[in-house]
Amino acid sequence: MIKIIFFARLRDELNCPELNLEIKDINNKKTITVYELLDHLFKLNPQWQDIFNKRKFFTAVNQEIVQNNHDLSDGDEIAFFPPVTGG
Amino acid sequence: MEKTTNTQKPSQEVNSSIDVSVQVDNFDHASLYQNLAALKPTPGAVVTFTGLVRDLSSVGDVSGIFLEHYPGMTENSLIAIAKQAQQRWPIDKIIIVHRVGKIASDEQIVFVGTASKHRKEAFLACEFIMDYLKNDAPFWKKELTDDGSFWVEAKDSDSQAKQRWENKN
Repeated sequence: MIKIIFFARLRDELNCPELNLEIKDINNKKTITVYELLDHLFKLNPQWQDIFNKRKFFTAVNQEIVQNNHDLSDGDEIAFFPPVTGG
Repeated sequence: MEKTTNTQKPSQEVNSSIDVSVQVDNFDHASLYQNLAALKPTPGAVVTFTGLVRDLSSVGDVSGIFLEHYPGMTENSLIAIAKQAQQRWPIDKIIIVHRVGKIASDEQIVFVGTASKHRKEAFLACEFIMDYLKNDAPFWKKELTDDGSFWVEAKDSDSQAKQRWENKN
C-alpha cells in the first residue's frame, strides 16, 4: 500500500487530506512513477487535473523532495503540497 | 500536529551545535539568546532574528495566522538548512524555533539565532538560514481576517533571496 497526503491549499481544493492505494490496483508492476500515480488519480477524480495544473506543486516521497519521474514502491509515503510560506 | 512539541524543551538537538524546535507555544527570546551567549568559550558574536505576525497584509487587517507543517519533514528540513550554514561558515551554535498552529497578530512566529567567534559569519549564517527556511521548510501560512481566511502565496522575492546564495557558490 502507498499513502498519499495533501497539504494546505491543495488539500482544501481537492477536499481530501489523504488516501491509500495499492500499486497492484493501478497496474501490474511493482513500482509506478509519480506521473503514473497522478494519471491514475486524475482518472479517479477528473476534476483534480485542473487543480494540479492550476498552480505549482511539489512532491515528496518519504519526506524527501523528488521529481515526478521518481519510482514509487509499496510502503512509500507520497506528499503533494504547494510552495512553502513559513517564516 | 501530534508530533509537535509543546514546550521550549525538548527540541530536536542533532548535536550540541544545532537545536531545532517546531512548537505550538510561544518562545522566550531572552532565554534563547542566553543559551547562545552562555556558550564556552564565549562567542564573540550572537545574531538573532525574530519574525512577527504582521497585522496588515495585501488582504487587509489580519487578526492572526494559521501555520500548517509536515511533521517530521519540517524538522529534518530545518536541521539540513542549519547543517548547510555550518558547512559554509564556522558557527558555534544555531538555534531555530518555528511556531505552528494559530498565532495572533503581533506575536512571534520564528526565531533564528547564530553564535560565532566573529560577527560577519553570524550575520551571514542567520540570513542564509532564514532565506532557505522561507523556500525549503514545509510550512504553509493562512491569514485570518474578518472576511475569511486566505492561504498566503509564495513570493518571488523569497526565491530570489535564496538564489543569490546559490550564485555565490
